Amino acid sequence: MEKALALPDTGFADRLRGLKQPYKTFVYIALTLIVLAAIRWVFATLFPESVYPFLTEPFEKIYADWPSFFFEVVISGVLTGVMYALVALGFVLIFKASGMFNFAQGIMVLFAALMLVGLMGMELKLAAASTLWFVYLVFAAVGLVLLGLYFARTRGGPTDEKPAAPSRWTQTLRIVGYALFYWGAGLGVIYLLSDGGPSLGWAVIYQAAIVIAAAIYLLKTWGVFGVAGGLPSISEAGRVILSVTLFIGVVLVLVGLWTTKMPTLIALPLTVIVMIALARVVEALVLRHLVNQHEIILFMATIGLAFFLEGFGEMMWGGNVRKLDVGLPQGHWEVGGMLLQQFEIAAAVIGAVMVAFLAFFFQKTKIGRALRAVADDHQAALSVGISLRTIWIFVWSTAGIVALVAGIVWGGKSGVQFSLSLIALKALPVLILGGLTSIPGAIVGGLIIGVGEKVAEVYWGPAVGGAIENWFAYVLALTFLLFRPQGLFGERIIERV
Amino acid sequence: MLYRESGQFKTSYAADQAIFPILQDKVIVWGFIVLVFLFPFFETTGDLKSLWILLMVNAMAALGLNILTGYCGQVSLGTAGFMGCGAFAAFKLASEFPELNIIIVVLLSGLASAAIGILFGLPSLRIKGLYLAVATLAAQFFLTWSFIKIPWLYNHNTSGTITAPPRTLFGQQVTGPIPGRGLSAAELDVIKRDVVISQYMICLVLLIVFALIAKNLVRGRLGRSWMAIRDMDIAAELIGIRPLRTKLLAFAVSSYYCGVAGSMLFLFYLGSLEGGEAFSINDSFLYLFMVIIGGLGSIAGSFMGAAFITLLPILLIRVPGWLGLTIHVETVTHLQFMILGALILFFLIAEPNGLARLWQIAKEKLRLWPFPH
Amino acid sequence: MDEAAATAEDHTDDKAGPATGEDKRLGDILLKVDNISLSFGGVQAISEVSFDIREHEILAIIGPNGAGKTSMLNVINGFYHPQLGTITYKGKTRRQMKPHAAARQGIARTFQNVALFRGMTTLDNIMTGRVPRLPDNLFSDIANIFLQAVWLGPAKKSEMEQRAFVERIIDFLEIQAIRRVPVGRLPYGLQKRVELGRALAMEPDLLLLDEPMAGMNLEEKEDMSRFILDVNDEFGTTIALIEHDMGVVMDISDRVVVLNYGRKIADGTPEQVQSNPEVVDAYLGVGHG
Repeated sequence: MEKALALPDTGFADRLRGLKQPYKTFVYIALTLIVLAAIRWVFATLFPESVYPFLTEPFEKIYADWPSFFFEVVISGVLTGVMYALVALGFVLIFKASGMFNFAQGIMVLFAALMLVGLMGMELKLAAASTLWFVYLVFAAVGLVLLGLYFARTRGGPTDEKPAAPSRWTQTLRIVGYALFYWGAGLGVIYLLSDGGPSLGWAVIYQAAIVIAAAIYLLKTWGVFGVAGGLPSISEAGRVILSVTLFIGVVLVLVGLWTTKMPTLIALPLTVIVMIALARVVEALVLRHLVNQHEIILFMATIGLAFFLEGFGEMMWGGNVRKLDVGLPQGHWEVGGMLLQQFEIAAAVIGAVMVAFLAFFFQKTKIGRALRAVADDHQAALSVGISLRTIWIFVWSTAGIVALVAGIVWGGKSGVQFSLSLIALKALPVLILGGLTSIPGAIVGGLIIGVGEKVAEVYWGPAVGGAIENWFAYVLALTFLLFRPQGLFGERIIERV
Repeated sequence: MLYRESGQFKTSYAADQAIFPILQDKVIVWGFIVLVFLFPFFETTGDLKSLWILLMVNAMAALGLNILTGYCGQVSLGTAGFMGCGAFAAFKLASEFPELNIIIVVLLSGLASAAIGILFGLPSLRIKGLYLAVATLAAQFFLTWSFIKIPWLYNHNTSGTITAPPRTLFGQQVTGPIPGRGLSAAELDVIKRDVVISQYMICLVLLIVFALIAKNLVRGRLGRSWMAIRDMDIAAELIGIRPLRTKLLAFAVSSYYCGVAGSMLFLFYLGSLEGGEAFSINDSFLYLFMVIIGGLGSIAGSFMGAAFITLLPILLIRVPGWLGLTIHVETVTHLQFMILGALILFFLIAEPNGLARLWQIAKEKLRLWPFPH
Repeated sequence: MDEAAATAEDHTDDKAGPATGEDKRLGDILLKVDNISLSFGGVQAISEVSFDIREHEILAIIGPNGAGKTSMLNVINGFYHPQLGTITYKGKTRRQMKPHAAARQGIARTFQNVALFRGMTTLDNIMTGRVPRLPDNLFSDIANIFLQAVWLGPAKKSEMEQRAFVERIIDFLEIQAIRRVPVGRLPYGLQKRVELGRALAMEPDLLLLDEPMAGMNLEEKEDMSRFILDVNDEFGTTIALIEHDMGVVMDISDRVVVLNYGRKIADGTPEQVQSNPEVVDAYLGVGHG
């Protein structure tokens, strides 16, 4: 036992952790330098012929480029970083409020941009007027009759004291009634108003949505999936179908009515409305049914959502590259030998304003406080009367708007196309670098990744054949994670059993 | 009424732990296997390669991913990258050692992929869950980049594509371009058909053997350790399972399967490919979808998911054709995306165990039918 | 066994003492924790706690919520690493160890909130408990892949041996009927029992039970008490348990350690602890004003 007490009380790592700031930082920096030197030595011993292109040439080039071109690279990196941060912000918001790692954020950027560009450039040559609207309204009327039958049955006749308990048949009546009504009314109104009707893609989407929603609730009613406990109770069927069809209906009306180019000032708020409607639909159809699921299940669900939105967006607007111009300046300034793109500066300013606004919003307002409460503990937040659903809809709407801003900036830079969602994937390494729950983390992470990959591409890229921008961010984040698994600003997780 | 297990008693633990403990299942599976072996001789629509071989390759990859994601709980977004490793390893092996039997090449190519898998699985020492998913994303992007930027991998040719060399097995050509010089179209068709049938057979045998191996792995000690890590990694460690080693074994076995699938894709399906295009991030997602839709943590589910996702686009094109409608090719792609996305959401919400679970429920109902209680 | 069950049943009785204490031969010191301190950030979870456990003993660790009981168990089986102090187990002194290494040396554990593998059946859950009794080196693990792949020879034989062992535990715990049921679908009481089964499959020398009877009704508590006493009697397993039900604690334990605010305030037989004024204070909340 005496021997036991003679063991050192603390190991090297513990002593390091116990150091006080700022000494801790100094020691860490010194250690990092020592490790880097060691790596360099090993590297130089193993690959002597690679020393020049990897370890010498890039620095020579930086020296030669000093200061103007080097700073141009850095500034362009900073600006890219701001844009990454913009996308990452959307992730952070949703992650904080629902524990959901929203893979679909990238697609939401694309979706928002597609929506905006689609609205702005809308010049639909609609088909000649048809009388189809009448046929659809007849369908709607049949649906109404069915609904009436349903209510008559469940409310009971004048002699009955209590309404009859809803049976499977009456439920079926109700679902079919709702579906027929919304289907007929939706398309009928569109045909009536739009003087021609929606495009084929639209009609397919609209009708498929109704059929799928109705089918799900019919299956549920008839217990085809005996254990399918995740679906909402049958009484919600009508409401969910309503929210889906309303969302699509709103867009349909827009598509159907607008026959000339829409000014930005109208298209922008309309896109915002669409993004909010989207949040509502996502909440009703997805989030609500995934409460308390494992984070990996949530993650995969958002991948599914991403695929759906991508197909949806491109079905609506087609897969071509589109130009998006909302009037951001296009020229450039020359400052001290450096070329500064006005567009990029404007983008950075927009990003900065957005970030500042969000930070203010979530620190100082009531709903911000509610959001932070939800982020801390779902159960506790519920128990003090915060509605999770409201918070989720709000957060997804905010994320949608952030996505719209990011979409405007990215789309203005490189056109609105599918690859936009791939660029947005870069927000993932940004996030894990910065810490999943931290707004400042998203910004700092964005800047580090943006600058890091630009500098690496320009100066180290040639040594390995270029195009390292594709993976550099991921590898950088990965390496970083090995040393600090919770990210730069993330909270350290104490595991409990 | 035929599907009953009453009267079938097990007298040993071995019999109780057999893969198909119920006699009827055994009969059905054997019947099915005989059927798929006879199938190519009756298949005349020309879908043998474009559909069925592709399906088997996909099923192989889905098996691999299911081991990692479904059984060990580690989400991988780098499946296509690991498959690429297998394909390029097969190419290098076949071109460096021309005498090597093509089956050996396929089996060895998986090892390269397994090694890469272990390398990218190493971060699981420190990180897990979503973070690890991003690590596999890093693997995906890095690997596809290296398929383009490392000329050694494609023997420094200018186009950057790799082409399967012609190889024979038991005197029958099974890979590579078919020498068609001096042959009539009819003769060529016969030769082509023979090649495709032999490719089908090779893929089928590989798939059955590897599915059996996968089943054996997951029903024993290793599989239980994987599932323990998946269900609760902390508790698993506290009862004596080494988390890192168990996860790395899952990464190794999983990427081995993916590598074999990749070399099958290259040798028996595509014939020649370009690394950056054949193994893109979208393919990785598709494999993940196969596993989710088929059923996480189910061997049979891997087959169902692969079949579903392989057949979906073809059905989307053909069904409207049977109905006399024409749908634009682009619309089909978009529709496919939407349907996949919606199905993923549906399955994750309503039935996280996928098609395999639905099948199981159907079987349970059948076992009791026509007396539901 | 009958006597043990009888004692467990009338545990409301005031004169209850250590049921099997007189005739049980306590062995040497199996585990000694010495001067353990553990903190998370600024929160001191455990400060300078020392106690020991003898072979074949049933030791109860009690204390109000947040007293550091679970943290103490986590320190013993290596899940938390204390900043100060040492742990001597089977004569070897250490400050920290890997949890899986602790498991291999015979420290088994159940959890406050059931930590079963929810996607697996009862049988598979208990089978995982056999892991620490299987060879543990990289070579055998890799060889196992190939053997298991063909499901022949040693792999199959080992599998059947494990199954046979696990079946004995299943019989012991009387859970034959739920062998093939995924544990996620079981009621809470049964889950606790399966968890005990998984720990027993490890053939532990030291069994740590974290609130084995939390949330159980009287009947289930009696069953569980009986199982604990049986394990202690039949297998000679040393047991350290955390429990809030004082009746149970006083009945089944040989010795009681009381923690409060991360400090040990009492250590002795149930009678000694019951009459200790500091313990009474801690439980009634006196003396902290």
